[in-house]
Amino acid sequence: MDILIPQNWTPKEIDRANTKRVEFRRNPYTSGVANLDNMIALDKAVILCPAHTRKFSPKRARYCVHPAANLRRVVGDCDVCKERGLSFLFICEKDALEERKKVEKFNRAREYGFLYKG
Amino acid sequence: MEFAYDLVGNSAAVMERYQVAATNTTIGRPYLKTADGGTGIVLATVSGAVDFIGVNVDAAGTYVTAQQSDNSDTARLTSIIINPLAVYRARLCGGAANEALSAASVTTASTDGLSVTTSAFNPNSPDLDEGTIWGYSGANAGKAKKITSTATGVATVIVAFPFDTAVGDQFLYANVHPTRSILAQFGTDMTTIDATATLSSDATVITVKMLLNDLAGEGTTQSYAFIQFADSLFAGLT
Repeated sequence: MDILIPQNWTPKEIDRANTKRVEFRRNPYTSGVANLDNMIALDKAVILCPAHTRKFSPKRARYCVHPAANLRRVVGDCDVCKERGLSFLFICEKDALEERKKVEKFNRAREYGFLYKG
Repeated sequence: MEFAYDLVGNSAAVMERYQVAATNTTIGRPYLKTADGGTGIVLATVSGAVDFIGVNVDAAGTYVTAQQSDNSDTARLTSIIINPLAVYRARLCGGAANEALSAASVTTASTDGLSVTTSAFNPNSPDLDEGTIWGYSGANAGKAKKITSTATGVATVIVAFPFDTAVGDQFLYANVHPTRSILAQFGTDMTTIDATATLSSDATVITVKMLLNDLAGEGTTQSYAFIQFADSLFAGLT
């Protein structure tokens, strides 16, 4: 079979060929949303920037914000856009249940306990 | 153990994800740096916290090394709080398996508040010298003091308890004390402190403060130590 390679491409043909070539360029990175899906499938903690938090439905993913008030906002890389900054931390409901128990246990201890510093 | 706060002030928890070197499904375990020839960060041991990295907030999953038949990624990451000056709260336990603390009853009254005598409990075996003793029931309930010496059945303090101890009063003991830097003995799941073990003088863990409870507050299961890992790798000290 002969492959014909035109030698005198017009600029429009070159643009069209470049556009087509991009489709076959190897992409070593998983897209942000696919990465988020993977994290959710593995029940991993998810960090999302404010912009992607607004698009994320924790209830549908069976996730919720971290029960500990001091871990709801964390500094980390967004799992969608990789932007680093003050973000929201979500954990899967299964882990959240255990973490909520710890938080409530500590809150009860704090209510009755006394701080000792020597 | 859980993230309590950062000594810097209002700073939020800073998180990174790292490849692990072992399967772990427990949340709240300390991790150490990747070893020479290792595959990832390693779990701290019950008495080892040198080159501390941080504490995890999710499970690492099942650790794999071999290529997977479905060509899925072999990475097993876990999310770690890496603040070098983070303070964590750890529950004080009466044994390695997260048992409740045991309250010891006074068998010989003291009229100066400088000693607690409990013939059925020996604070010198394991030796809890330099630890903390606090009232669980009786007149001194809710009052804590530093143990300055121990003998068979006797814990001595220098700063006296405010009230005399009476026979039947109960006290709780822990091997840690605020501002003491020691090699803490963690429970086997690494989320608690075994308050009954004798500690060495290693300085990898500092007790910042303690939250103690008496009988009314179920102190045997609801007492905590706030600890900081002094040998945090990200503090740039090593």
